Amino acid sequence: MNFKSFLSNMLNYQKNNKYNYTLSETQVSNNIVTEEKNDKKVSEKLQDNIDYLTVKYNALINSDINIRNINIYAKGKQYSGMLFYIDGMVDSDMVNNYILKPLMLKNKTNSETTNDSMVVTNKDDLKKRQSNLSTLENIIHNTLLPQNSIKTSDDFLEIISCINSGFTALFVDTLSDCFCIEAKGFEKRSIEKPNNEVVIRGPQEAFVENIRTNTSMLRRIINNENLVIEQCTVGKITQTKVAVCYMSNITNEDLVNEVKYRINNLDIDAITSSGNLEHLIEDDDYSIFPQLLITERSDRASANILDGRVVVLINGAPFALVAPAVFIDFLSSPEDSNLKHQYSNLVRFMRSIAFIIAVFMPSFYVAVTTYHQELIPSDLIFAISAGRKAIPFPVIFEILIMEVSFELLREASLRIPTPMGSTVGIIGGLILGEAAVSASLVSPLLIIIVAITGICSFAIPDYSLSFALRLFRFVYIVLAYMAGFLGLSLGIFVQLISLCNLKSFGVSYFSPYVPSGNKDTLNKFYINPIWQRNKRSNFLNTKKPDFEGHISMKWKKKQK
Amino acid sequence: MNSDYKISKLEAIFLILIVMINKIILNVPKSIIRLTGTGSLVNIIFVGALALILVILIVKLFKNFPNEDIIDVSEYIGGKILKTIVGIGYIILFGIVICTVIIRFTELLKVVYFENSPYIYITGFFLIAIGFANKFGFKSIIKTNFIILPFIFASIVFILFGISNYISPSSLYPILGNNIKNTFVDGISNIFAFSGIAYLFFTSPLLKNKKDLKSIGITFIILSTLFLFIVVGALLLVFPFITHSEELLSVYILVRLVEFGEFIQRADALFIYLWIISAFSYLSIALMFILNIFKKLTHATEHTELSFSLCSIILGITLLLKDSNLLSFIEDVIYKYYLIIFVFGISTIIMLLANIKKKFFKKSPAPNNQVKT
Repeated sequence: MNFKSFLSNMLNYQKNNKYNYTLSETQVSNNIVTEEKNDKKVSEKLQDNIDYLTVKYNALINSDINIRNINIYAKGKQYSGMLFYIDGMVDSDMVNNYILKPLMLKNKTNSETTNDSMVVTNKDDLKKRQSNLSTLENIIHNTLLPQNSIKTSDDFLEIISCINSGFTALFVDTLSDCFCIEAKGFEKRSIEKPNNEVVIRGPQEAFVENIRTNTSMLRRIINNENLVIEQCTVGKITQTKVAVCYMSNITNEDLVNEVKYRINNLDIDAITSSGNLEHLIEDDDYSIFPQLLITERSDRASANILDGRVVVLINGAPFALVAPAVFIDFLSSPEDSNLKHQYSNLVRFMRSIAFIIAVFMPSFYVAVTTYHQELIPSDLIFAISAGRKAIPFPVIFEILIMEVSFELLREASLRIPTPMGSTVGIIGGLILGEAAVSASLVSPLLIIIVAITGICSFAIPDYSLSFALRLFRFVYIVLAYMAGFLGLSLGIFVQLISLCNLKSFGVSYFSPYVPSGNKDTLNKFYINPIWQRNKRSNFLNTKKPDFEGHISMKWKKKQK
Repeated sequence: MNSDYKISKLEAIFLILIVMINKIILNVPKSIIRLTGTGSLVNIIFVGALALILVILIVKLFKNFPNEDIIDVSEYIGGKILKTIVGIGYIILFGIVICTVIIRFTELLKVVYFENSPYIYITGFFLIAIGFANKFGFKSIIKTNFIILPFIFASIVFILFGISNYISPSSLYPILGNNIKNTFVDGISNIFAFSGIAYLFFTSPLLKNKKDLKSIGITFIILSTLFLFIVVGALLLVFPFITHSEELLSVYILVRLVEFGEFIQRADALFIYLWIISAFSYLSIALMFILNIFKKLTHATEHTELSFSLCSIILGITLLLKDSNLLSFIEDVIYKYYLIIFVFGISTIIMLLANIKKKFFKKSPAPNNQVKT
């Protein structure tokens, strides 16, 4: 360094290129937001209301908050008013044509000055009488706003909730009430085919994010006045709408009350998905096994409602939660009820086999090759030994390499855009497997075992259950390596015990088998023909236990 | 039990049957044959009839005490002292059961599969299983047993079919054994095979319907006799000199004969696998009863901690008793006669006395109404 550069460094301004920001981990007292009690009422002074909402919604910095000051003509006079809405949540045409025009443009209705109105009280006699349309509030509500859904409220809490869900709030000077006009018009996804629960012969409709669309789908299928859809909100910030759907003449009231009790007693700021709510209301939060059935199919949700279960819909989630759910539900597919019972039983049997293979096959391989070689015929054991001859690792290491690689491939293919995802899966599977064998990292037989296990895990219809199986597979592999079949026995026994302890909304997880119940339902391993499924699941203790008459096919009896 | 869960008739039958099945898997058939030889089949029918009479008597005696077990009844007639003595007596009984079963299975596994593993390593698996089972509680154990038992039952039936090629009817003769005295007098001690009766003394308060106790007891004895008859018969028909066998488990000797064709060379590991699960279930039930008695005697409430503490004690005892000769002595002499004297004798007498007390001193409050201090 010469003298010139030394001086330059000393005297010149040096730009600091490092941007050193650290979020304080300690809580600053003035940073803590406490829940303020919001019991403010609408003021008769319009400006007060404007000021309050402006502050509340940070309207000066919030770009999508619209405050539209207007003059309203009513009773021949002019009043100041204000429309408050969130841009993007409302339909602009509806606001222009059905709110602004009737209020702002002079017409015969708003020019009327008298307190009397013409109302038809008799078919043949038209007479003039004092009507209740005399107040400004009633005139606006009953004649100036041609809308089917208007809520009147003086409570800001309710008004804000309405604005957040897409209503347009109308404040009028001198009035201490606000009109919340439904003019929702946000973009939403239309009903599409199910992506995760694909069936061939069933309906092809899946839930969407909009709760009202979802409830209408249930209504259309069930088509009965006894379907009750109760609405509540969850989340102090998000105020997410949650619908509890059940049949009032079928479902056990205790079950309905329990579901509502759990939902209504959640102290949480926000729920953003069905998964959030699922984890908040399930019985055992530490159990790896799913305790609520999640479906995207409206027909499956409806079938469960008709069975006497409770379905919970969440606004913003295209999935329904079904409570309670038992183990067999997670091995069932919506297609089972569409097929002839022989076909359904075959596929259920195959799924059960797939379940066993997906959990136990790698661990069985480890146990047999490590401790119980006598089980395998001599020829096969020689083949396995020959295959493993060049492998420098113990079998546990070998199988863990493959299982972890498989899980990574699965995870990677989910993250990669769809057209490339399958390619990565195939290339990864084929090339990596082949390369691993060539490099003597794993034996060829192990590739087959991991591949079969992977295929079987995809045969499990429920996504959550297949996750649980993947996790337990690793536990069983370790146990098998530790003590062969003794370790596996320990794993199975402890798992059985824990599953027997598990309940879903008070229903034993292994119902209807443990404790034993009626078997004339769809909820069991072996499915009877449809004419023999004459009972609802008895573990649900429904108000109406019979699903169908003793002889459902009466036409056969009549023929005789 | 300190649980609101009440068990159904079928669950109760399975609960007691698992005891019997484990006895059959272990060395009970061999012990019977060792004592009564070829007269074992007749002896089983004889002791089965005796056990049936005993069960009917016990059920009748429990009629006046539907919500009480033997511990409560002991307190009713003998106060806290008798309650403690009887309680400790049953803890010792179930303790012996747990220790002997664990040692037997550990020995088998060590000889067959884990030659180089330390004894404590294998025993640890059993204790972890029963510790966890009791952590989850009574209801889970009963339900798990309900799921497991049919598979165990099927495995033994399968073996019996599998050995049909090796049967030699001449091995059954002489059918009355060495002599009549040996079969019918000395052989009475074979009633210890029905040790499941001990659990009947605790079953009544657990039942949903108290009236089921009679049918549970009778079904248990009939099924046990039948099953024991078949297994002992199979052993006699296949191995004329079973008493000299050095094999560890009776049914294991049979399973080694079964041929499974080309694909599976030898399937004994698979059966041992099933039987280990069966043993886990049986041991869990025994530990569950120990815990229940212990809690009644001491008013302890910490279930999980107690469960794992007892497991640690059991581990210590099993390590002390692993000598094979000592174990055989405990099984064939101490356990056998302790069971007969304490369970079939003293417990029945306590029940008789309680019934007499209830009959003649009607004013005396029922055990559940007594003020517990």
